[in-house]
Amino acid sequence: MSDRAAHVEVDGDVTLVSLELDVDFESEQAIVSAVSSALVLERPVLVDMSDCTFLELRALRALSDAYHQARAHHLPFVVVLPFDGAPLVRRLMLELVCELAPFPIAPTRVDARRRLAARPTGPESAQLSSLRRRLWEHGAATKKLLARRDELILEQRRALAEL
Amino acid sequence: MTQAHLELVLPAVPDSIPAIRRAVGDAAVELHADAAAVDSVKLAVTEAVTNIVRHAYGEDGGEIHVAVEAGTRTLVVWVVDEGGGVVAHAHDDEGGYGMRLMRALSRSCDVSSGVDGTSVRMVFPLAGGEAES
Repeated sequence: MSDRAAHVEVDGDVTLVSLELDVDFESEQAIVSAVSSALVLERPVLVDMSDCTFLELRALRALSDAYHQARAHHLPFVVVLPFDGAPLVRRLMLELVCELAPFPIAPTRVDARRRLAARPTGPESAQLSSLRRRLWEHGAATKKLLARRDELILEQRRALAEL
Repeated sequence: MTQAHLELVLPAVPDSIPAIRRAVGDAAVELHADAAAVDSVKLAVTEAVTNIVRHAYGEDGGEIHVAVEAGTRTLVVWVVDEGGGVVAHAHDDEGGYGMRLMRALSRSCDVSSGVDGTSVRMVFPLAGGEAES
């Protein structure tokens, strides 16, 4: 069996997905399951690859797909890839097929958390959209009321003039 | 082929992938490849072997043949199957990334395919940084 692992845990305000040892073809489903679980929790997703010793193309593609899923759910998604991480993993993600790694990459968990904190989380983002929509609706309603008030004033003036 | 340093015949199943990767990596170390070259060999061979596991055979399965031999300051790796040939490998690397990767990691990568299967021959420099030359 391949040495592989994908663990999911809630760590503070983020969902932490740890990919460890050899992440290869057989890990593809584990990554998909892990990130699906993370998305269900509706928290920002932090994928830590600090202990990843080998990364295969299909596993990287699964990670890339997971990132796009997270974006569709308005969930921030950051991958931790330390400077002293496995050279092969770094070379694959940063050089050989870097287009398969479109997600933000941070060298440490602290940096990753800073990145996650800088963006609105999923629920917060949705809340912000809702507030903007209500503000727009209120603004439109205010304009309508002011227009109606002006009409009433004009009607009142005409009525007074007729008297 | 000259005298092989390593010869393996394993079933084309997922569990064979890490086993082959480790064996080929160990062989590369024994043939004095540096760390970067060992990494390149492991990744490229994993790619070739994964293609076989995924696409070469039908439900009846088949075998993966791997051989590693020493060249002149190089390491030559053969990955061979007896599956469906080029048709089976037509969608081998999902967007061309697999083949691109094998070519980028090796000094040369030759694929020959026929009705009897597919053969991939990759040559790696013993010093990993020389692959792109």
